[in-house]
Amino acid sequence: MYEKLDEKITDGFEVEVSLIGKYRTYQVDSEVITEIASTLKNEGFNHLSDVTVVDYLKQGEFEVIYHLWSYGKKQRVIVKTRLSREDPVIKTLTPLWTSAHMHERENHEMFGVVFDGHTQLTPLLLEDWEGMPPLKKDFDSRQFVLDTFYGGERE
Amino acid sequence: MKTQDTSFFTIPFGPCHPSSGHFHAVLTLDGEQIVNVEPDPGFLHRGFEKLMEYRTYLQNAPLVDRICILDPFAAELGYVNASEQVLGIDVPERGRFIRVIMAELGRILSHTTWIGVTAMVLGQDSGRNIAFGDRESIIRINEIVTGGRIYPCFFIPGGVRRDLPDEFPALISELFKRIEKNLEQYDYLIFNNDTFRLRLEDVGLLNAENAIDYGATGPNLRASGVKADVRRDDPYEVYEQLDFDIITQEKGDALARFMCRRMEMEESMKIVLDALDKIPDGDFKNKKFRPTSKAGETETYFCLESARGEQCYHMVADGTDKPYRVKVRGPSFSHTLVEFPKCARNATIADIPAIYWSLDPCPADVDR
Amino acid sequence: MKTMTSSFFEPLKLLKNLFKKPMTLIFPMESLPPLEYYRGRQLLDPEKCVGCGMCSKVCPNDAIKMVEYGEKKCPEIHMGKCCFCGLCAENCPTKALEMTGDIFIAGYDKTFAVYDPEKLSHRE
Repeated sequence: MYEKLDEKITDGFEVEVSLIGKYRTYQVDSEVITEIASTLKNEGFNHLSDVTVVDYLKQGEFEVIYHLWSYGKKQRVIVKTRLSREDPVIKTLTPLWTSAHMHERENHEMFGVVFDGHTQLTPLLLEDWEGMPPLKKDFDSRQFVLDTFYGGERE
Repeated sequence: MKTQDTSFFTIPFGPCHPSSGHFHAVLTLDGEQIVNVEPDPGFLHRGFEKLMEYRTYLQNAPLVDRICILDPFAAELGYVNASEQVLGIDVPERGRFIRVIMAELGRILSHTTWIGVTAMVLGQDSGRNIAFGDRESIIRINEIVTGGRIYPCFFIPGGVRRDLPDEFPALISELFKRIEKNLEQYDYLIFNNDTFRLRLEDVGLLNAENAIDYGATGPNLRASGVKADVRRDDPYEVYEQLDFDIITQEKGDALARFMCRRMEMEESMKIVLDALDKIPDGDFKNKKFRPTSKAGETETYFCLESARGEQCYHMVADGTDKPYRVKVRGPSFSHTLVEFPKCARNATIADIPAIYWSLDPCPADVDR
Repeated sequence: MKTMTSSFFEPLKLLKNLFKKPMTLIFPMESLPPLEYYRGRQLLDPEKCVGCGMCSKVCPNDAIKMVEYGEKKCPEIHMGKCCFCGLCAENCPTKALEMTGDIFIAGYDKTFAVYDPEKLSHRE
């Protein structure tokens, strides 16, 4: 079912092909994400469901995951890239899909990933937040609760 | 010499307003025309994605109800299916049928609540009173089957917690008689009422191409003419064995979205009666699941159709008994943050409640 | 179909609602009948409890602690943290804990919230 699509995507790019559940997954380099996304959009994948970030602390990397769906072919495709934890920068996909604007804004606030070319990377859900982005794995939630609500220590 | 003085002023469409739920937006007005809408969510942010990393797979099941309070069965269904794929356990057939019946009852409950709130917001209190009386009958069935009225906590990985009671078919036929009688009253008071039709026609237009680009799913997309439904395109549970239609409308304005949801309630009733005919006997849960079951090192992705649109779960597991990362995609995220500002661009301020509630937002889904 | 604005006399049909019984119940004179399976407060049977601690491990909100009661350990439940999900009663191996339909557990100060094993084993 995915053979023609596999040929078009692996033509000229270094791509790792696998399956998550029953959906085709492509693992690509973060430099070529815009070309792969426009190729997929020309193939008919016109709905961007979601943009997710997973924090792998031991390997020192962030993984950015894009979920795409095609209403014409009724197929789903997942695209993954890896970024380094110290300097996470990736190009934005807002020119291709308008709904990416808000998804990227939320992920910037929660993880600290910088989307190059985005016009409005301001806080969305949290207010007056100073400190590290809260969904990272080295954020100490127990210490945060003790400091905010119990004044430092508890029995 | 001619001088022109236009001053724009801003008013809050605030979180404490009875017409907006718990959602805050800043409207910039020029007289009575809307110039800009700036959404500002975050009043219901409880941090579910971080909380779920500190609890086991069984302890997360009562927690997931609270993500979207108006349609709790859909959120539970997604979490339970994703964790079964990661833990590698099967579900018996009777358990799957019970889940589909309760999920469709949850859809009817959500649409009834939506009718009540919309009637109140557009100025008619009688519609609200009838709708909330209907809601009480459905919640009473929740109480008899699951034990909790608003937070059912009924699905666990491996099946459901209890079997259906013996008098369930009689209860359902009595409830559906009441709902059909009240649907005629809603038509008389709200859907065929000339005052409402004048208020909703040609307001908040959205054509098919823009709807797909802005990320609309569910009844909002079907009202613009695109025939898409996760239950048909990418079936899950036992929807392949059941018989139902997909409702679409052509125009894409607020009235089309209203009619789409009103007709979906009848389709849901058909699904419940069909499933009650075909339900087999047997076990309702898989006894191999224990409170300390461990998962493999995999990830999975699961999508379903809730009352508002497409709800998805992305789950990453690392070999222990707690998930490593769970991401929930709420269906109202794109509707309130991207579609509402675009649809309200050139409307007047009196149209704002009609446009906002025709998109059926749930602010709890946006913030999680 | 006829709508509210078809003719002058249409809205007068709604006057029949004046003679129907209201949908609301006047509490506490009338109330809904209690159900046998409703997740209200817990009830403990100290004879059957063996002190295994399964209820404490399964609670999602960490509301149950095991304390000394006579010669063995029994659960003490903090009602302020309990979310009434019923997992403790379902996973008890000897069925010593069960959920009753009692929902009137309010009090006047915070000491009412902690139910030690003595208070848990009485129905009042």
